[in-house]
Amino acid sequence: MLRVSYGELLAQLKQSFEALGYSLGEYESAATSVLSLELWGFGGLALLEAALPSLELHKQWAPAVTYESNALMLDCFQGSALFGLIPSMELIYVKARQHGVSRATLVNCTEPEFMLPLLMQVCQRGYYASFRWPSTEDPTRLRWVLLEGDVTGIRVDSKIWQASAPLEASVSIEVAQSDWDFSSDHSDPEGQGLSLQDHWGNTALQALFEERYMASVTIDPWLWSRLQDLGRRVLVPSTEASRSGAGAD
Amino acid sequence: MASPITDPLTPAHAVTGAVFDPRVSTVIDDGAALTLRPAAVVMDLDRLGMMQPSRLSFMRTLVRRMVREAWRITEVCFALDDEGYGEAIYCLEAGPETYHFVVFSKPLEDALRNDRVISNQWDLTMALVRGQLSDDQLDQLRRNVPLQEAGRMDENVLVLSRANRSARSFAEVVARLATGQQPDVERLKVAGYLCRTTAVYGSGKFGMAGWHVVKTSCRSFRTPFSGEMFTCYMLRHFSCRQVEHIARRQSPGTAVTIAPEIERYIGIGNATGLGMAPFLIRHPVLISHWMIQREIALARILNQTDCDAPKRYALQSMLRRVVQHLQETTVTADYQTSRNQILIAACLALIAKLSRRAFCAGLTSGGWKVLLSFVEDHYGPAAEELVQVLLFELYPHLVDPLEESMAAEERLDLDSGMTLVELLVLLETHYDWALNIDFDDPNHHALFWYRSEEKMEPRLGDRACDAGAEREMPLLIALGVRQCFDAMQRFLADNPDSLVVDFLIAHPDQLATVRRVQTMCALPYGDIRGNLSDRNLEPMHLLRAKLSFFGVGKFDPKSKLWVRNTMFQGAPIIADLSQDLNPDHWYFPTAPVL
Repeated sequence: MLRVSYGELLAQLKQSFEALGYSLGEYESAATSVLSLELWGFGGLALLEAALPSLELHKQWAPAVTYESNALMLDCFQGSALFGLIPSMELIYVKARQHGVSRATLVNCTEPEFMLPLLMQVCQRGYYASFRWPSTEDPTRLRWVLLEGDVTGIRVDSKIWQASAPLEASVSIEVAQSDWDFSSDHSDPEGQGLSLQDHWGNTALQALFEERYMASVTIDPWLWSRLQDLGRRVLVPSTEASRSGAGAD
Repeated sequence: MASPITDPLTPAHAVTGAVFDPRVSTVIDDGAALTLRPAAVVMDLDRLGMMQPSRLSFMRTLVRRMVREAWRITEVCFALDDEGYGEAIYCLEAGPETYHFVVFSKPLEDALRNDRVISNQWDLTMALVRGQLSDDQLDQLRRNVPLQEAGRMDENVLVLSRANRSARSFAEVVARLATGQQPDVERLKVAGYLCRTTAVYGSGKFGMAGWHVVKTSCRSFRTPFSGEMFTCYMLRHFSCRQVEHIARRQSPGTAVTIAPEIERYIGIGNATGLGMAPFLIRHPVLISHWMIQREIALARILNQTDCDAPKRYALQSMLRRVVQHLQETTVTADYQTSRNQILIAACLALIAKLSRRAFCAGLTSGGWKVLLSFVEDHYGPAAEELVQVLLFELYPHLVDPLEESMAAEERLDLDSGMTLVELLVLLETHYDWALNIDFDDPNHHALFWYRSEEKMEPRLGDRACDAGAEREMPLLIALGVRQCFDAMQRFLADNPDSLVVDFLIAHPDQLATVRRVQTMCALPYGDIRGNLSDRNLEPMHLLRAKLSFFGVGKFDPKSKLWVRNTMFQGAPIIADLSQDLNPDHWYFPTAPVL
């Protein structure tokens, strides 16, 4: 395994996503999402590895957004939540600002975990967000996590969570000004799809994220090499003439 | 200390925070309002190309810290052969922290010695490492540091760099030392260094410790680029020891060491190309932070009313020093020679003015504002920029505390609930400089920036004749603003009550511009006001702006695209660090008189 710094990984991800044809704003956010999930223990790099084949095959469309009042439906057309969802997420947030709470259903979405960093950005503006998805074991039950933005990482009911299995392709999102505004049919997520690591206070949680940030990232050399190969697509072949475009010897 | 910026003229926006009036910016500083220069002046690309190093430059800041905290630097290993090839290790003890500077010296054919970043062999390669150095670590460094970009470091390595011997001075200094003579000061005026570094890497590249790690766990190097600057400082020290060593091996009976006065005058050369330019565009929050600290320092000084005789004499003395410094500066480009001559003339004229009673009476009543206004009116903005940094020297207590505020988190925030009309007004108000550019004129959209396959070196291409425009780097802020503005106008025609989020759902490719504009409206010194695709672009202005923050001197452009300069010339040497000396007496260094 290869160790890279967070900064090095971020720069490589940006360049690789740029090579896939995404715009500056999109690839910057996507790179940050992968990094954040890796930092928080949600396996951002593993999720990226799963998403890469389809991302390389075709540029992903932005989701189709339909809404009525503060209820939204986002169809990702079997695409990853890595790209194209920022405007939609912002719309969910704006609707919550207008109505106190807003709800969105995300369907046909691969790697919906990539929504979590976007939701955190909403939380950092003082909002609460919840994320629900159906349980494969018990279809009558929903798994549910509540996000608060008072630390720079995923915080779930004063606990920190780590993914143990990929999320389902269909998830529901709620954004609210207060946690009292959420729907009443929440299920207790404990033990459901996300493994509870421990109970953490804010200080300890901050220290944990800091500790992770201070360490370098371990990445499969094969994935690193693949990202580098992708990134090389933005480079321009060198010629004698082009060398003069950087200064004389 | 300064608090977040507010502007009494414009109501603070609900989400993005306080908003600057583009004509005048105000900062609350210890409860008092300070008026800063408008961004239209400060961030003008031509003016950025006139910036001078100051007390807030990173080299100056580093040296002050080294002296203040009594850093102790000792030689651990100095294993060089007769030709100066081998390795050396130095230990830095800075309070409770320990670091090691490791340098490898290898033979290099003259034909392979090249300043370009695309080179792959060098006379010297080096690394700054935190903590103690084990044998295993040293072996790792031996294998990887000489490879530079092709090697892999670990998270204990903070900085990686390389350097070449100066063809103008290295051998000549060795020869003189071997025959018992000191280096020729006249020659050092031309090339005031023995080695020239061609790249200094930090911030997590090639497996090294990331900036976040350095900032939070390496107290000694917590301010931007201080680790990189220290590496260059140590290179300077090593280069002096290396020439002494070679001279001693050549002629043990007659060789002498470098006199301290001359060693202080020996700096480190640096060659910088276009690679610095993208940094300035990609870090608008950081750049804004750097500029704001400078502007706060200036505004604090302009609020002083003590333009008394001692301060005027001190200013005259500094101006004389600048004149001597510029007279001792040799540059190859005619236009730079001309600029230096104009500055010399301005300094001499101002020295004379400061001796006139009527002029001084005006200063006594009007303060430094009168002086700067006079300088700009009579001698131009380059002289004004120079006098500003000299004034910094008169008020260290107002300037130096700002050095701790030079770091910033690079984060752009989106306010999607803003109405699109509001955003349009922000664009018109804060980015009028960009909207005034006619991009339909091919000359205003002539150049493109791209990364070469050769070490990802940033290069400039001409759309009319060079390949690669389809892969250009997204550095054209002004063009992006124009395109965003046009798209917004079209969208508003059909959706007059829309919000920013509605626009972004229809135009997700505008996300970066919208986010940047909304953030930068509160940080007006973040965006450089220039068209980076203009056929007449002077990339040198970008390099000069960043290099002035580093604190380099002897700015010597070799073309429009790269520049040689000198670092740490005049700075205290290691032997001085334990002495009770003023660590700031090396601005605009002048040749020693033996």
